[in-house]
Formats: sequence, structure tokens, C-alpha cells
Amino acid sequence: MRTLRLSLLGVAVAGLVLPAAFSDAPAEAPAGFDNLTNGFTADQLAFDTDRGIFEEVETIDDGLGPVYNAQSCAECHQNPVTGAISQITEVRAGHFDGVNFVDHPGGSLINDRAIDASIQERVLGGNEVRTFRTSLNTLGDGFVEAIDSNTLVAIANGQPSGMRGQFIEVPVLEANGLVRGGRFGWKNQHASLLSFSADAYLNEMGFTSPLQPTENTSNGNSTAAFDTVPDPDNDGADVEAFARFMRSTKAPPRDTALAATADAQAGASLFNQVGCNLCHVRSITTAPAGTVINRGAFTVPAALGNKVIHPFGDFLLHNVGTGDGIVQNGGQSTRNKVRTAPLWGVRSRGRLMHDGETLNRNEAILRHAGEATGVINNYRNLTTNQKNQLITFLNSL
Amino acid sequence: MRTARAAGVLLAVAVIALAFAARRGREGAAELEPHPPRPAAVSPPPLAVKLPPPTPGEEEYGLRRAFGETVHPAAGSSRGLVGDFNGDGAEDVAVPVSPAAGRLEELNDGLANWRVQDAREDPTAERGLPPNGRSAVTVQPEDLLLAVVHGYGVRGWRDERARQCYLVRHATGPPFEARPRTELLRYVRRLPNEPRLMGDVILVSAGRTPGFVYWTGARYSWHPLPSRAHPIAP
Repeated sequence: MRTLRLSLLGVAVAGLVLPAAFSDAPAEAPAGFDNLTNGFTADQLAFDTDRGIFEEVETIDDGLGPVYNAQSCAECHQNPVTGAISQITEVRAGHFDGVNFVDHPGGSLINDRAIDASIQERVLGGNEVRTFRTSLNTLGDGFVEAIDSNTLVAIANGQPSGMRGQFIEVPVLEANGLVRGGRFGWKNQHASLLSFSADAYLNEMGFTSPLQPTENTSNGNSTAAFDTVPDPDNDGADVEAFARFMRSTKAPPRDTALAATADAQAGASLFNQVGCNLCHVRSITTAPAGTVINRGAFTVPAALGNKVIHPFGDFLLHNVGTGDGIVQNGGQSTRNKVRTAPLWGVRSRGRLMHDGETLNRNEAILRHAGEATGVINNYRNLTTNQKNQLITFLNSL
Repeated sequence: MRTARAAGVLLAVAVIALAFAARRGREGAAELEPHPPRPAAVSPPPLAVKLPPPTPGEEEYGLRRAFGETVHPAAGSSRGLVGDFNGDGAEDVAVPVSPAAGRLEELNDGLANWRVQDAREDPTAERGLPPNGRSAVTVQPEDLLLAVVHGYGVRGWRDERARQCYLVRHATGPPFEARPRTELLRYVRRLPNEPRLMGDVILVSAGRTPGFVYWTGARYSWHPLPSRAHPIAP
């Protein structure tokens, strides 16, 4: 009888303990501005090699241009470590015909540089919609890519009706254009890091690759006469290295010393109390390891799967009164919407909002309107001390 | 006794197998097609109804809601103007104001609920960033400012939620008239550095140079009018 009781007790304990042991309790994603791999790449040497390609300064002989914005990825994604942000902006332009946004001739991106002065792009008359776009952080983007699209939909559905974010689906280039929930870029114009890399390599540096084989024009005019390197400029290896590098980066870390202060902790509570967290979502868990994403093109590895990240963003589009009037992959309904800026790492940024035209935290908060009106009015009702606490909290991110 | 022990072992094995199965079941699964999301939020609807012109009392109430007691309508100045100055579809109000006595510190507080701007300065063009928490442009006692309250929803600036507001230097003066964006577009398209007009504008001359104040998307700015645009001035 005693043995039977012991056996049953053992089974009961096993029943309680084993599921917990084998269940995938989400783990915190590694964070750090330290140039160390998050474990996605086999080792640190592989990470450093990919980082080197991300930092490589390209020349005309390599395929740079004919029109471009920068000579290396790290030129715009560098502060405080490779892959992060910079103060560099790009220009987008077009025309609003009263109903629809119409791309500038050659596309809404106006490249700031060219390998020959005669093909320098500039904003042409009649294209009154113009905006600057600041360079975005790419650190931790492997975790963002590993978020299940349904998680983003669930976030949207959990937001109050007047503030519900817009979820859009955009083509995954490496999956023959099949669509997935967008999450990268100011307009959520990409869903995969390979697609994003190929796009940026072409549009920011002028490098064609198998996923983006056609050179850009100069204000709509062919640049073929200046293109000395046969297309594709790159066989795709660089694009894969860029994606691998971003997938290997750690998430932007908190300033733990500042975050531990009483003011920052009070500010963290105020952040929720005011309602900032409705869109600047604190925590998201990535899909389990083994989940097939990017429409079959990528399987979430253990290093990225089932990880808790703290992006302070929802990766959804909102109209907060700052919309830039530009349409990319999301259709005309997204014209005046931008992706909620993920606030992780925002302490490293001096120029704020999508255009970098706002120079301090309070002004950035007050610039929100539209869907954010109620939340910002809550902020307006705070005392000066409380506003300082909230800003201290922001400065700890 | 042996049977009981065997049953216990079997049960334990079954629990372990189930735990494994539960874990393995998630691996290799494809990301599911997202369920169609509910419709996205609709922005405040564009001006569909003609709102009545503002009364002085409404203007003062709107100013007080946004700026408290820090400003008051400027003596001897024009009445407020209405229009969709930021182009979001809701009616805004712009009123010339003066700083209230003894309120300068509050007006210039870096954490105030309004932003102080100068229509003839581009803060981002400065080489250095303004000191933390301080507005780059400050209100002076003798300033004549344009107070703008952005509207919200169909009631525009009269809505209790309409509290996004600006105090703009160098944005008042004759002829001080609101003009629809569409009317100005044909003039500004001739300008070499065509400003982006997001909303309606306010005609304001700088000395003898006719021009207009407009919303850039981030601030209020003044721009000269081309000479052939003079006919639109009274």
C-alpha cells in the first residue's frame, strides 16, 4: 500500500514538474550595445564577419550607385554600435492629387547622391508632398522578424477602437512575393529582413541583387549609361550577410542605472497610467523556435524563438497627426500613418519623430495628435514633476 | 504490489511522453494566416459641416483651455481666424495674443503644454541643439504671438479634447486673413523652393513683403509670396 502511495505521489509530482520542464517558458531576449552575437550565428567570428560586410565602404567599381544615399549600411546604422541608428535622414516626395498620393517620377525616394552630377536626383516641381525620414534602428530586428503576425493582429485588436493600429501585409521577396505582416520601416513596408536588406541595398546604396535586380532611375530617367557594373551588382551574398547580421544582433538594452532610480520607476508607472503603452507596447513574445515564417522562407531558430522583447512599440501603423503623406506598400489608407516608433534605444537619439524635426522629449510627446489625442491630454494633465519622471523613464530606454 | 509499481512507472512515462508531444507539436508549424484584422481606426472626418464663425467668448474659452491664463487676446488686434491649418480635417483657430503679466516663466517652461516657435526660424537649421528641456524660442514680454489651437473631430477647436497648441512669433500682421490651401497651391507651385502646404494658410506680411504662415508638418513657418500672387491680398 505504501509503495502504491509513493508511486502515485511520484506520478503526481512528475505531472506537475515535467510539463513545466518541457514547456517553452519564454526567456528574456539578450540585450546589449556590445557588438556581441545573440547566438543566431554559430560564433562570434561569424558575427564579426557579417558585421564587417555591414560596415564595408563600397565604391563605384563594386557597384555603388548610379544613384544612392550612402556607401555602407553602417553609415546610417551606427550609433552607438553598428546596426543602431544615426542622425541621417533620407528624402521622400510625391504629389497628392486630392484623392491619392502619386509617387515622384522614379519613386518617392529621392537619392541624395549620384556617381555623376548629371544624374543627381532632386525634388521636381509639382511634388509638394515631401518629408525627411530618420534612419531606423536594426538592433534586435531578428526578434521582431520572429514575431508571429497573429501577435501583431492581437495587439491591434486589443487597442481601443479609436486608436487601433493598422496591420498591413506586404510582399516577402524571397517567397515569390507572397505576403506577410509588415513590421520594418517607417511604413511597415517590409516583413522579412532579407527583403528589407535587398531593398536597402538597392535604394540606399544602388546595389542590385537577385531579389532587387533593377537599377533605380534618376527622377524617372534611365541611369544605364552610367552603370558600369553588370546587374546584378551582387550575387545576393551581401544581402544574406546583412540579414544574418541583423538577425544576430542583441536588442537595444536599457540604461539599468537610470532605470533603477525612483524617478524612472515612477515614470514607468506614469507611462502606463497615461496610456503611452497602448501603442508603445512594452513586451512582445516571439514565435516558438521551429515556427516557419516569411511564407516558408525562414524557420525561427532557438536563438530567436520564444523570447520576450521590450520594443515599446506595436509594429502597427497609426495616424498620430504626424503622417508624412507618403504611400509605400500599404495602400492609400496608410498615407498619413506611420509605424509606432519602437522606443527601445531611444536614449541614443537626439532628433525625434519620423522626420527628426523634433529636438526634445516633451515636444515629441506634444507633437502626437490624432489617435493619440486622449493619451497626450492625459500627459498634459501631469504635474511638471510627473512629466520629468516620465521623461526620465524615456531616457532610460 | 508489483502491479501498482508498474502502473506508476507507466503513468510517469505517459506524462513524459505527453509533455514531449506537447512541445514537439509546436515546432515546425507554419505561421498561420492572420485573421482579418478589425478595421483600422478612422481619422477624424474631414470638415463636412460648415461651423459657425467663432464668437469672442468661444475664442477666449478655447485659449484658456489650451493655454490657461498665460495669454490673452491682444488688445486692438484682429479677431481669430479659423481654418484647417494643419490639414487633418478638423477646424483650427488662430488668435493674436499677448503674454499675460507675470506669466513669462510659465510660458517659457520647457515642459509647458504648448510649443513656442518662431515662424521665421528653422530650429533644425541651427548647428547646436537647444539645451535639454528648454524651448529654443522664448516668449518676450512685448511679443505679439499667434496662438493656434488645433481642432479635433467634427467640432474642431471647440472640442474639449482640442488641446494641441502653439505660440508662434512673427506670425501676425496685416492682412491677417485665412486662405484655403487650394487657393494658394497655384501660387506656390511657381516658387523655386515650393513649400509643402498641408493645410490652409494665413496671409501675413513681413514688413512690405507679402507672405503667408503655414504648417510644415512639424511647425508654423512663414514664406514669402511670389509677386504675381499679390492679387489674392486685399
